[in-house]
Amino acid sequence: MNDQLDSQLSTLSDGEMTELELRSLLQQLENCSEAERAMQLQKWSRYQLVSEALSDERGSHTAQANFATAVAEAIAQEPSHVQTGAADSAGLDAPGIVASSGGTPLWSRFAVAATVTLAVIVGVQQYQLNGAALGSNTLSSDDTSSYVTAPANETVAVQVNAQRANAKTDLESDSLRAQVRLHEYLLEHAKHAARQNGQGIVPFARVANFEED
Amino acid sequence: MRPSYDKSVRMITPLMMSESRKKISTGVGLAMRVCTFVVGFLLAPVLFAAEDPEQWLMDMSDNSAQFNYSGSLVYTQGGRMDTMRIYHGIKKGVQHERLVHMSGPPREIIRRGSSVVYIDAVNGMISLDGQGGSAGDYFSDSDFSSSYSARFAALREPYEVSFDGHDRVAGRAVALITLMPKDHYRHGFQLALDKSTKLLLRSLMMDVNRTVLERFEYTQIDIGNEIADADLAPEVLKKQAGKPLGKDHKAPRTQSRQHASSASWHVGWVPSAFTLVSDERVSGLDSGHDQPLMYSDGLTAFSVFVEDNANLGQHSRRRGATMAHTLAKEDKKGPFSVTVVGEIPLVAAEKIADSVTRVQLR
Repeated sequence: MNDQLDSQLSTLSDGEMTELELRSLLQQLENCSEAERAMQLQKWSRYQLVSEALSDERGSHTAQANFATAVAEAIAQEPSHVQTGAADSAGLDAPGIVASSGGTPLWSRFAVAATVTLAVIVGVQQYQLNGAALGSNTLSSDDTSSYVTAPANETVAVQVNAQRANAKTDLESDSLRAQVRLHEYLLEHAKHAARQNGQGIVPFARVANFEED
Repeated sequence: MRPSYDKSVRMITPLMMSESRKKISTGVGLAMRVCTFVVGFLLAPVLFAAEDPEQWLMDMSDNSAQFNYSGSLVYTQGGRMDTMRIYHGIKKGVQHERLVHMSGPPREIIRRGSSVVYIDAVNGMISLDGQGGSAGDYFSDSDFSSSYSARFAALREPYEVSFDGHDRVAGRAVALITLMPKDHYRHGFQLALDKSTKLLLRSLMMDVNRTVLERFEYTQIDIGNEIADADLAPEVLKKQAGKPLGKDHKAPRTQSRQHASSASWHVGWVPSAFTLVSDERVSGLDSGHDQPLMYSDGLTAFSVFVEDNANLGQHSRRRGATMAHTLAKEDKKGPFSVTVVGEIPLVAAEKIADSVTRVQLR
């Protein structure tokens, strides 16, 4: 499964993944253990850098360095994240269904997936600026399971047909977005501050700390 | 430029010292020695006071760019502490610097001139310099030290600047300089400067209650030693397929910069003595819209980020001395979010964010 994940992540980084593949990848990510997922996301981050390096010289690419961490954190904050034994993939295929008794409500697991989707889209968008492949970013599916539209870089609208998931996902996406943005701001500010106080690069120590945040 | 009397005062100091030493060496006796010591002790503060702390700060800035040094330092913010090793050397007239984290995951920051990269094993190399993109990426070396003289000279406006006694840091004698804010909109500092080289060996940032928010402190330092090239070269990526410096990645830039919006923003209020410092460098690289607006009072800095057409909520986060305050606002043209990030108190960040408005373009 790992090798498969690897190659899928790599495909994603190259921007060659179909929506179906993306969904299957998200499903797999959802089903792996906490540590495994963090590792995979980090790996994706690295693939992204590699893919960017290979296709470099195309201008101002932007690397969202700590993106994987932001995603991992968002997932960690998801309360319903505890896996309930059997890897039930129905959550993705039939959103809106709520587990009837006990266990984790499927919709909330779906919300996790949606959040990751959003994060992936946001991430991919950031890498493929300048209106490249995903410039007019519409990943929609006919089976109404979910679709994520990102009409422009600025506004990322998440529409999830599973109504229960809707509000929650919006909330998640906003907070994830705010989080990613905050990280960028802190980094940008640290760069600025380091040039202002005559202490050389020492203030960059702050940057390193934000990276781990 | 510098007032010349300061130099002369400094010339006098060693002369008097050597004279007292001569007296001692003539061996007049213990009483004389004690007497000299007492006189010297009494005289020291007088001579000390003749030099102004601003001059020391200017020397600090100049010398930290000119000397070779290497050492270990600790950095704390809030309850957390990091240990680091630093190397600083001048190679062919260019400042090279390397800051290596000795605790936590391996990571380091390397500077060549004014080009700075951050390296760790997960993210690889991230360029931290510049505003990105263009070939004119590498700012002049003076970027790090330019115009400090002017700024330090103006520090008396927002801060009460004074010598605050003596101490020992990293085994060396230091003079303490305290900068206490005259208002509630900035933090105070206590800087410890090496007496012989004026290098900054400790920096404390304190809130109004003198609680330390952030501390940089050398535990050991060698000054004037030869710095080997190897000590200035990256180590973290050595084991990986190393990419050459310069083919690095750009750090994430704020989304707002990446597409030209027609909006531009006005910061209605900033604490006194803070001046806009970002514009001159940024303009020309970009259209100038939605750039972060960066301010400095010479010692501390904050940045204002505005994202048009977005609601990032309202929240404040503090990490050590760094405050990040986000405020969602709305006007006729729609929502926008203001985030103020800086080593400033929350009350200042709130007031600044609150004062940001859209500039109506005709």
